[in-house]
Amino acid sequence: MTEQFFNGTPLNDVFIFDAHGHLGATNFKTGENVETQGILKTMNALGVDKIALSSASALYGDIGRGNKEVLDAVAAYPDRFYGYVMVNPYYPQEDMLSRFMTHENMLGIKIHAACHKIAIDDESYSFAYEFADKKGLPVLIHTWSSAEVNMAVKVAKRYKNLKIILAHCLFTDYSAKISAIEALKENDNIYADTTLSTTYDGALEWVVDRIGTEKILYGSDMAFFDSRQEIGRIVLSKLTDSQKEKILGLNAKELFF
Amino acid sequence: MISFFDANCMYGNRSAVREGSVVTESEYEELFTRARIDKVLAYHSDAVSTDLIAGNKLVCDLQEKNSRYSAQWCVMPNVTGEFFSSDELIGKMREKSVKSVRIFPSALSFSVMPYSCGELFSELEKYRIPLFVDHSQVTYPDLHQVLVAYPDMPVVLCGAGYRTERQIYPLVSKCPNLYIETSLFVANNSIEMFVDRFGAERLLFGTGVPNNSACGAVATILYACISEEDKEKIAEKNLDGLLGEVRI
Repeated sequence: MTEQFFNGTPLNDVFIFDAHGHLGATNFKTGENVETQGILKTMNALGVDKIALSSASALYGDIGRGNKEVLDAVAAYPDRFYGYVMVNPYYPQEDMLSRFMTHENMLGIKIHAACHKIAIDDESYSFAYEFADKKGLPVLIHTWSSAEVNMAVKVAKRYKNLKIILAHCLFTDYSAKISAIEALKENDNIYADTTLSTTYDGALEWVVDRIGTEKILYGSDMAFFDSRQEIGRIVLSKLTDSQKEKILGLNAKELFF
Repeated sequence: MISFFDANCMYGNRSAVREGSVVTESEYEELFTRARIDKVLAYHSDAVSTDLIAGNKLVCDLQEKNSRYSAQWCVMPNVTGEFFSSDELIGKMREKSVKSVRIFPSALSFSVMPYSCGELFSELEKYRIPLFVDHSQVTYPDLHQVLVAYPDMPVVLCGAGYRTERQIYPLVSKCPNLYIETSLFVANNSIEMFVDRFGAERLLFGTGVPNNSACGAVATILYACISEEDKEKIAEKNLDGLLGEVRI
């Protein structure tokens, strides 16, 4: 894997599933390469097989339009794209999940409570957690701090049939890492992703030393970020090839399919 | 095989060490070997946090001991008599084969305006010594004034890239003495976007070690959808070229 990497050729011999992607533009950065073609260009260069996307528009703006964009992308590229439905408790939600969970590649739900300035375990999200719990779906939750991890744990304990993916927190600050590691150890239905493009070398190995690789999923935050950074941190880490393969895709395969 | 020359490495102890991050000489060595980064332009953390002159001496010791490293000195204007005068600085740099400097105007509380840094920058400009500065240390309007006032002094802006395109693009367009280091070019395809607009000559590969990832930085260049020739320029040749133009 390492030799192929240094040649800059696609890692086609490894199954790579990116569990944390975003489709579409936001105003805080330039809007280039954030649509399907820009994402596919990077995926093809690296050899990323599949990516699960949520919508930037649904996160920051029109939730219906954004979720529709993801559904359209998934329908257009079913071999490459999967989707999360984004929910926002401030807007009518009754049909949001049933409207957009209409394609087999729509895998789960994305919650970004920090963006909504509300608690992860707030009752206003319960319709989404109940939906996911009933169907055994994954819920990707933005978790930056220890407090957010702890709120996500409460959700996991209450809704035991859903599967929570903690985003970011394994690589943010020390207290968040510790909370996330405990959460992963103690809850069968909690996983975590690798997403944090600006972190440092050694961070992944430190986490794996404490919890192993089985519950860690590769996530890039593409197209907000460039997935090449994340891939580099994993492929050139000190982990064994077998550990890298689990993180890059095998764990996601087991969780999602 | 592409050779890498890291334009942005801080070497040495820090007061807060992130979990699993490199600290010791052997850990830096292992990381750069694993990421296949053969050459590293490094400044010392002590020069930023405690004592410029002592930190600069430590990085020269490293340069003498390990051929992977080229020493970069942290400098400031000698406005309080704490540092070398500008002509004295050049003499000492010549003596130690140091060919680039870095400033921390925000952390060390000085202005980059000519009334403060004029003498220093004029001297750097005379010898074409590149000045490195992190984007967190200087405002973009101040940087613009410096670039315009000292057009023959190459300036390398480090740590810029993500969410800063609207700041750096007009500067790169208007100021030919500005170069951009790539460690935080982490927006999707941002290397390609930059190269499409300005060519590859203005980008310098950097890692941001120990705070950012050498492995991630290498991946960004290896997998960029640009020509091999452009990758080589960014990875090594542009920095080699800048340091080769230094006249001390």
